[in-house]
Amino acid sequence: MRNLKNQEYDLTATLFVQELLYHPSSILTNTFEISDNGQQIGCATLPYLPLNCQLKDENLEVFNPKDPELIQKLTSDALHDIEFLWENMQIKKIMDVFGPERVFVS
Amino acid sequence: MKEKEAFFLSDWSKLFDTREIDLLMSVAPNMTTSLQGKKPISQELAEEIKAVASAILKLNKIEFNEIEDVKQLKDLGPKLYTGAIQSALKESFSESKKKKLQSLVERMLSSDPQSLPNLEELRINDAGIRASINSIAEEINQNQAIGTRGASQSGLEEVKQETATRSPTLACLVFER
Repeated sequence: MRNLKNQEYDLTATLFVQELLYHPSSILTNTFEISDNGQQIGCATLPYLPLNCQLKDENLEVFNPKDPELIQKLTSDALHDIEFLWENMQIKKIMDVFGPERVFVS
Repeated sequence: MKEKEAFFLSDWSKLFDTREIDLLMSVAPNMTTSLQGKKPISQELAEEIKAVASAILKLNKIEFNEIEDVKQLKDLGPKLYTGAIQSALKESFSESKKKKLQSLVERMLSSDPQSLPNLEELRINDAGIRASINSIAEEINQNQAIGTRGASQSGLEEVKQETATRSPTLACLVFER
């Protein structure tokens, strides 16, 4: 059980850092730190919001979902990331968790 | 400000559930398998392409599950499914300038793998936008230098406090053992 927890920890921490490395231009590098004996890893990034927050709050418009240019950008960017995960990280079941809550706009 | 907008898939660790960890741990470190570096084709990403289109519908307050229910009805065939998609999209993308997009989303949702758009069609050239994001990041890094931190345990708290009053977001992973 302990081994599984360690594996979980290693995998989660690895994916978290890999994700940060994937977005180097969004990270405020000098704020990155690991603390509390490795229990906390964090950094400041450029501001971003999940797309589903406008589904929850009618008054909040994160972006206009009827704008064809933005929809094309969303499609292009999301598939860019999916391709990367598929090709380089061998993550194949992306659609199982894919939804507006996993897509962010900066 | 619109040219700065960029979309990305986040929380990679959520892409896994605990049941898959054993498998992943045996696969993930070994990045020399034959699949690595192999470019996928749209047919291999059919479910993901459909999920992106479904997210677009959801954002336009169109429930894709209802359309999927039509697909499940036996003896009705794919024609009714296509009709349901066209009708749903018409509401949101009916204007002439959106016709091209309507057709693209329609094909993304197609039940026929051969009708799926290829990945090139789904890409846009966003080099300019990415350059713009890079310059904003550089500017923030220069102007909002928060200072180099050691490994002090209170460091993250300071970042949390500082980011609360500034524009950046805090990406943080906290483990409980």
